[in-house]
Amino acid sequence: MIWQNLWALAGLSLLVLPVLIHLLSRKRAVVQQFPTLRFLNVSRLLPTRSPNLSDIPLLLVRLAIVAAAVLALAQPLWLSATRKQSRNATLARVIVVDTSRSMLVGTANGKTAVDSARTFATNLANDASTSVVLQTASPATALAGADAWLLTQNGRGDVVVISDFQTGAIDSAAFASISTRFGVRTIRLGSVPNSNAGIVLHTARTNVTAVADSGRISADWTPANSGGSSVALVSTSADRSIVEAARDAANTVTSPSPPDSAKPTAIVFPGASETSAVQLSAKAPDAAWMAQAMLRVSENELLISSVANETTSDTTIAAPFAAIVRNQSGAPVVYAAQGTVNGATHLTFFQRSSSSSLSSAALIAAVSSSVGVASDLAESETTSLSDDALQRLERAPQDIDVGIAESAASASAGMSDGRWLWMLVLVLLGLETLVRRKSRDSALPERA
Amino acid sequence: MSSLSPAVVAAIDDLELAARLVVEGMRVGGHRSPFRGHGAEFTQHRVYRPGDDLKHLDWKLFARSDRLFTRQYFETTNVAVMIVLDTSASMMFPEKGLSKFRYGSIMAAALAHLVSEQGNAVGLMTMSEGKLAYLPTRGGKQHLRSLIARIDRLTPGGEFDPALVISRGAELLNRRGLVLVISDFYDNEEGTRREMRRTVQRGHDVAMLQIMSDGERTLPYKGQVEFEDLESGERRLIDAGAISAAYKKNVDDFLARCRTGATRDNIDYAFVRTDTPPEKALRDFLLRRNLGRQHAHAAGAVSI
Repeated sequence: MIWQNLWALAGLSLLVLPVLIHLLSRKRAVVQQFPTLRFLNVSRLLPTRSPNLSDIPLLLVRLAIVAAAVLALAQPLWLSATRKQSRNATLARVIVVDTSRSMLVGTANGKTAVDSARTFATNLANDASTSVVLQTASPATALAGADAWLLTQNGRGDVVVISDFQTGAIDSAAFASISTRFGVRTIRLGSVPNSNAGIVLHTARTNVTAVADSGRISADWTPANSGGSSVALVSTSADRSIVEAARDAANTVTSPSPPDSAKPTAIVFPGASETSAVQLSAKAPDAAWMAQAMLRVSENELLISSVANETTSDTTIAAPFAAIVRNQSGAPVVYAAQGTVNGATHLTFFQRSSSSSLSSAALIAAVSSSVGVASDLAESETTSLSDDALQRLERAPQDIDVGIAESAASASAGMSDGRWLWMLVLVLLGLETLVRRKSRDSALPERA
Repeated sequence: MSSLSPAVVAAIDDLELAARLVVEGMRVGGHRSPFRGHGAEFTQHRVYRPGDDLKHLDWKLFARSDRLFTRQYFETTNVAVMIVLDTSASMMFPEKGLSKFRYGSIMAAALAHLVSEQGNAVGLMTMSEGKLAYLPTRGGKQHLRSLIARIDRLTPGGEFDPALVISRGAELLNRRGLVLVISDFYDNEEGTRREMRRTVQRGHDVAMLQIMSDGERTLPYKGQVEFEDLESGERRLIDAGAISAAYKKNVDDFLARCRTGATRDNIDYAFVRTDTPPEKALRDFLLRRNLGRQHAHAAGAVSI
């Protein structure tokens, strides 16, 4: 038995209503004409409300009506053998394809692991009644969403994860978010690097690459590219040296990524001659990475603390500019918009505090780290989940069985046995009428 | 022939027919009619007083004692019977079946039939719509028919003063007679008893026929019942089951008062339940009167 609207069973609390009605109802006294009242003692007057439940058969019928109606609203579905067979014939499948960097490594046949994974995913999707393919660089976080989607589906369900199962990218704890009745299948593709060459540190003048494997650790220092920051800095010529100093200071607190031509950013400092032109070209950001970068900058703690005590005479801000960081009094010190700098569209941050303030360096550091391609240490892991561990995680999808299990899934199928309960309600209503009439008739003076 | 059940009697609309059936039913069986063979019976001797009819002188006694005595006889002919029928609203109970009033009407009609058949005079005194309704005591079939028709037209529910009705009924008897009161005797208990006692003192014979239904005798209800007084309209909400024992005691006390009061005042008393076949109730009543007649004669009672 499946209750498709489980919440409706809370309506069973309404069963208390008929009981209260029968407990509190005033018993209707029957008028009986009598020759004389002289022999009837006045002292034995009755209370008009009886402490006992009145008319138990009528009460039982009314309770049955309420219970049947509530159960009907809960949309029960009796899973007969035929129905179970029909339901278990369907399989909903979520295929999670790991697209992390480690999966981008080419294989001997010239294809990457991701390419092979996508081919697998297509085949697996065709095998299922209904399916969804999730391609994500973070398969661990996708599993919860996969479970949520499967809960909305009718019939059995399973999750297939195609990954290299690199340690840190996904682990057995992530699989715990999948409901036990859904199956789990793992397919290992690709391979993790056999040496760790991923620890890369960029400074203003030097790039350091650390390589570690089972035998040794080696480091390679190479000169950094000129202007190793991806952020364009716009200031007055007088302040240029101050801004350069601020960038140097910023490089001491962050590891700037190499310039990323796909995510051009700029900072316009006070007094820059280009300010008006950039502001005229400003418009709301239209790229997702811009919004993400603005969010990251606004959350940068170093910038927030450095800006807190800054003062600014201009406290207003209007669209399309968005306030990024405010000082203690709430005035926006840093704001941003999409603007044209040096003839190209940039995510442009405007600073209102002095170029020589500490907030300049903090802003450069915050913007630089927000858009850089940070070195993903997890992708440098040389270990992965063992085959034994993966085998323990795997399980077959469970058949739908009798029990309180599904919610909206069966409801979406439009099947319910509630109609039979509604018919029962109608029958009980008729019975209630009969019992009520009988009860009323019997309330007439009874012969002892 | 079996007794007429109250249900059968209640189903007969024609009161005259019902009365005749009751009387006929009473006669069938091994019982001798209580109205046959009385004749003129010697009662007592009395010292002769000038003016007494000489034909009543007991000459044999005079021969033996040399004193004059007049023979006195029990008067058996031309008895006047005044039927007093209660028309108060309390007589309308029970609502279904044979009500006390209908039962009393049948008894009154049957008695009138019997009395008239014996060649005696019968009259009716009651109240109808708040006014005294009266038919003088007369004999004859024509009078009997009109009396029964008059009873049939009566509708209970109006004002009924039993003391007044009994008093007027006794006054309107031309000579010494029988006042037969058919009632539940709920109204003005003390005044009714006083008036009946006074009637006896005036030389009349008085008989009480107290009618009660089983429902008001035993209060066979249970649960909450709001009783409405048929006469006053007053209502009282009562747990009938809890009160029934006390109610029965009250009713028994009342009936005992009626019975002892009647005995004390030399009144013939009969208690009749409406579920008793009317002819049986009538026969029992008349047999009881005959059995007590020996004593009643000594007190100058009238026989019907």
